[in-house]
Amino acid sequence: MATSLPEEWFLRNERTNAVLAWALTALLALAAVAAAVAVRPVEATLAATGAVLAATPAVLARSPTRTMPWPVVLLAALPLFLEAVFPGFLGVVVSGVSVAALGMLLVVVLGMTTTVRMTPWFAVVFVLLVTLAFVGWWALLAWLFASVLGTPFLETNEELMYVFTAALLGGVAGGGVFWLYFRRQLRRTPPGSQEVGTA
Amino acid sequence: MSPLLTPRRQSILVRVLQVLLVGIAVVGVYLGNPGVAVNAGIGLLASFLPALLRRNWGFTLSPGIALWITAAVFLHALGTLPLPGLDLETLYGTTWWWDHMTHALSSSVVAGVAYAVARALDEYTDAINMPPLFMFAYLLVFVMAFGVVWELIEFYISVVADLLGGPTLLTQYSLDDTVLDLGYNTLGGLLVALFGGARLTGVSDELLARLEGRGT
Repeated sequence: MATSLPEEWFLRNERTNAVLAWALTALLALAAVAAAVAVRPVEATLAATGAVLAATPAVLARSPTRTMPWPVVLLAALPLFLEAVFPGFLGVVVSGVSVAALGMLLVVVLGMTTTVRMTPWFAVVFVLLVTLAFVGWWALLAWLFASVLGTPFLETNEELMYVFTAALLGGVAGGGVFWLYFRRQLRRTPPGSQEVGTA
Repeated sequence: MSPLLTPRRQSILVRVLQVLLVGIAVVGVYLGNPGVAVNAGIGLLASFLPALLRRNWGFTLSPGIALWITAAVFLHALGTLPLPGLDLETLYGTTWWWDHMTHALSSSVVAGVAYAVARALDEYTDAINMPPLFMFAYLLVFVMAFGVVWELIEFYISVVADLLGGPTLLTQYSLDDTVLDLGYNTLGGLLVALFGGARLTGVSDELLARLEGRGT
C-alpha cells in the first residue's frame, strides 16, 4: 500500500519556481478582480480560489519561496490564456483541466492545514470527482439563478450534455497528467521503500 | 430498526419485491416494451447483489441494506410500467415527484457505497485519513460526480439507440429535468452524509476485514 502524498512532491523552495508561481498567482488574482467587475461570478470564484490556494503555502510557511510547482499553477490558470483561443467545446475541456488542477492544489493545502491525508492514486480519483461534481453544481446553481433572476443559461439538454462531456474529458486529462507525474516521482524517489501505489 | 420491520420481515419483503420485479419484466416482454423489461431485469439483477456477495465472498450485508437496494430498483422499475389505473400511463409520466424520489433514493444507495468504501480505506491505511467534515464533503462530491456520469450514460445510450434505430431504454426528458435530477441526487446524498454513518459501519467493517485479510 502506498504512503500519503508526500508534501515535497508539491512544495518547492526554488527561486525560479517561486518567481513563475507568483507571477501566475498574480495573474489569477487580477483575473478574479476583472471577472468580478464584469459580473462573471463563476470565473471570478475559480480564479480567486486558484490565487488563494496557490498563495497559501508561502503564507503558512512565512517564506515567499515556498510555493506550489509552477506547472500546476499554470494548469489552474490555463483558461485565462486558452479560453479566448478555443471557444466552445475545447474551452470547456480546458476549464475542466483547470478545475482538476485546482482540486490538486486543494489536496496539497488540505494536507498542510488539516489531518486529511490521501495516497497518490486516491488523490487522482478525488481530483476527477471534484471536476465532475463542480460541473454538476455549476449546472444546478446556474439553472437556479436563471429561473429566479433570469440570468442566461443553456437552452437544451444536449448543450448541457456537451458541457458535461467536455468537463469529463478535462477531468480525465487533468487527473491523467497528475497520475503520470506521481508515477515519475515514485520511480525517482520511492517514499521509504514502499512499492508503487496500485490503483 | 422499528419492531414492525424486523430483519426477518425485511428479508421477506425483499423476496416479495423481487417476485414483483419478475412480474414487471414479464409484463414488459408481453407488452413488447423493452424499456420496461430491461429496467426491471437489470433491477432484479442488482437486487441479487447482496445474495451474490454472501454466496461468493462470504460478505454479509444486513437485510435492511438489501431492502434499501431492492426498494430503490423496484420503485424505478414500477415507474416505467404503464398502469391500468392511470389510463396506461406510467408513474414517471403522471406523477411529478416519482422521478425525484427514485433519484434521491438511488443516489442514497450510491452515497452509502461511497461511504462504506471510504471509511474502510480510512481505517485500513494510515496513508488515507478522512476526518468527519472532509468525509461529509467527499460524499456530496461523490454523489454529484456520479449523478453527472449517470446523466451522460443516459444521454449516450439514447444517442446510440437513435443511431441504431433502437428503442429508448432510459429517458432524459428536458434540460430542467436533468438539472432537477442532480438536485434530488444531492438531497439523497445529503441524507446519507447526515444520518447514514451509524447504519453503514457494519458494511465498512466487513470491507476492512477483507482488506486486512488480503495481507499486505
